[in-house]
Amino acid sequence: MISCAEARGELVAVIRGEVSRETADEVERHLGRCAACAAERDLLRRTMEVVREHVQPESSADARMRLRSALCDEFARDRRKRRFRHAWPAFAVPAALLAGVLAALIAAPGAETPAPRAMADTQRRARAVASAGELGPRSMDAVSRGLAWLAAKQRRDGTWSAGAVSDAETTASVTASALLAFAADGQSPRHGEHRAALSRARRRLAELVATGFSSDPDRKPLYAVALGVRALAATYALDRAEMTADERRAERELLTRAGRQLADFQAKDGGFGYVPKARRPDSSCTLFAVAALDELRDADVLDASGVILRAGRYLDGMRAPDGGIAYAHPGDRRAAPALTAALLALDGEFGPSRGVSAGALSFIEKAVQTGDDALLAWSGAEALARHGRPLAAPVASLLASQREDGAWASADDRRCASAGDAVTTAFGVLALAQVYAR
Amino acid sequence: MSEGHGPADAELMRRFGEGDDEAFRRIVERHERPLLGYFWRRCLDRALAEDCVQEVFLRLVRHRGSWRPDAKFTTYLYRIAENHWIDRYRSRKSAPPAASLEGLTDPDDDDVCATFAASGAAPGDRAAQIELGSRIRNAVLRLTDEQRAVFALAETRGMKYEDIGRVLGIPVGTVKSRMHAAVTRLRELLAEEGRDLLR
Repeated sequence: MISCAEARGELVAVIRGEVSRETADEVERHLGRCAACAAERDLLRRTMEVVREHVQPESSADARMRLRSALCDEFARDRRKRRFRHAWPAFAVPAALLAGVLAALIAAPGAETPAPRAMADTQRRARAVASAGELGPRSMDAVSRGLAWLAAKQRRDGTWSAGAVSDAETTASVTASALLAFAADGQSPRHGEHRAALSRARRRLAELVATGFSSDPDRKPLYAVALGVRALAATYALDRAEMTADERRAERELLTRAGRQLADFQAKDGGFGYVPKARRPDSSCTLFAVAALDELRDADVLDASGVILRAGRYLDGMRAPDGGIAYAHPGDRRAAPALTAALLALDGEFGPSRGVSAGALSFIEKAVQTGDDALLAWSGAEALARHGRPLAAPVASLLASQREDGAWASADDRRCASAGDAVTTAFGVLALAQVYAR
Repeated sequence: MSEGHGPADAELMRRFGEGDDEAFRRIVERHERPLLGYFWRRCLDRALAEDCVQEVFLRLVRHRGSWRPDAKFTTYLYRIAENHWIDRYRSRKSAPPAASLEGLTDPDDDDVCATFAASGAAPGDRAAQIELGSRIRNAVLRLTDEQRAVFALAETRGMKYEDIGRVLGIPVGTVKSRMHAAVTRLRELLAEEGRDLLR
């Protein structure tokens, strides 16, 4: 037998049918014996009825019309956004790795011409894949296998290795790259089959970003900060709907602090360099930082539109005559394909579009067909997707160069030869993710 | 919570994730009114509630790839709604219900009352219905925000305690105690207003 207090504690739940059969029967037996509790039950039930009756809204026709109009606008924006939302991290990651692992991006022009050993064979296989009409399903399968390979190579602390270099900046950059690759597939610490692994990765990356990085220009901390911000913002955007209020508050505080830290890297002329208040900004650092700040803006965490606008003005000054973009020095007027692709993929994010020439797009289309540059494949695919150009050639090259185990080998990559397969595999996934946007 | 006729929410969201915008329009048709009811019970301010509904659907579009079938769609939807409400609440730096209370007791606000409280009432009863509705809504506004969150969800398509707990990130036992406190408090407030309210 239950007491009056116990019975009354169950009354609302009983009225709503939220208790077990046993509890309901027990309460009913009590109410049969206790008139006061039965009267209380009737009053509570009547309270719920009368409130329900009088707190019942109707949507106005005007509101419905405004909602549908807003959704139509959002669909249009969404279609545009989905075509290039993952472009930036891909470009930024290689740049970050250049900090300690790779040859500097500035050296890339000299590396434009070598013929990789397997290039001819790759191009032949790429043509075969494209002609087989399997581009969509093959791409999705390739993404899955690439991500499975990455998941298998994750270290116990949640990070990924970048070859022999193990400083905090490089570890953060590689781990952020991998997180971004999973995010491009919609996977995150709360979504997808690898969510437990990604939770560890996010936690460790957040620790690295919160701790801060070296101020040594040789270690180029900007890339670690910007990549970390970009990856954490991407996973936050995917997961925030499932977070509790406290979790969201903590994540937003972390990202806001990191975003402000990143903005401190901006020089007076609007460009970004390797260290805060850099004296020698360059296009690579600037594009990399803008991508991260744009992600924070998209995630409704931090609006750094003023910083981005000034960066856009700096990049305007780095334009080569053909519409491409040079790396660092006003006197260096050679356009670098990876930088140009990254700029084209961000067109419109600095403000009104600067305009994209057909020549610049053709330059990218030709460059991405070599199949030996994972970074360029990704940023190039993003740029081409954004501007409505066919993706079949770069995607087919990637499908043809993927190993049986799901990875893309760094050994044959013209930029990432010493960076480790985790980097090239992350880039490969990010490039192929463009198929989804199609 | 019933999804009514037609494809299940999960199927519609799957289609939407693949680019079928028409599937999303069906989601909107199905959930617009319950969602408005949820926000309305949080703030009792129609304009604010309608703005919040719009923002939730826009967030769904912006994060169209985020939802996964292993999550119940309504839980996902109302977690977005609750998070948006928290953002909105904080950004205003004041409690929306207090501001809304002014509007509800404004003698010029008869149209709002007529829309929400007295639709279908006979002309002779209309003034009394408006007055009654206003008093009842005032009572709802005097609940704590935590109580009103649980109450609003419970009254939205009869959402179960377990689902409410998932939306709010709190244990089922806490949901149960807050709901009990909310209804008991409403009963007391309505009794203070006059026993006729509960007849």
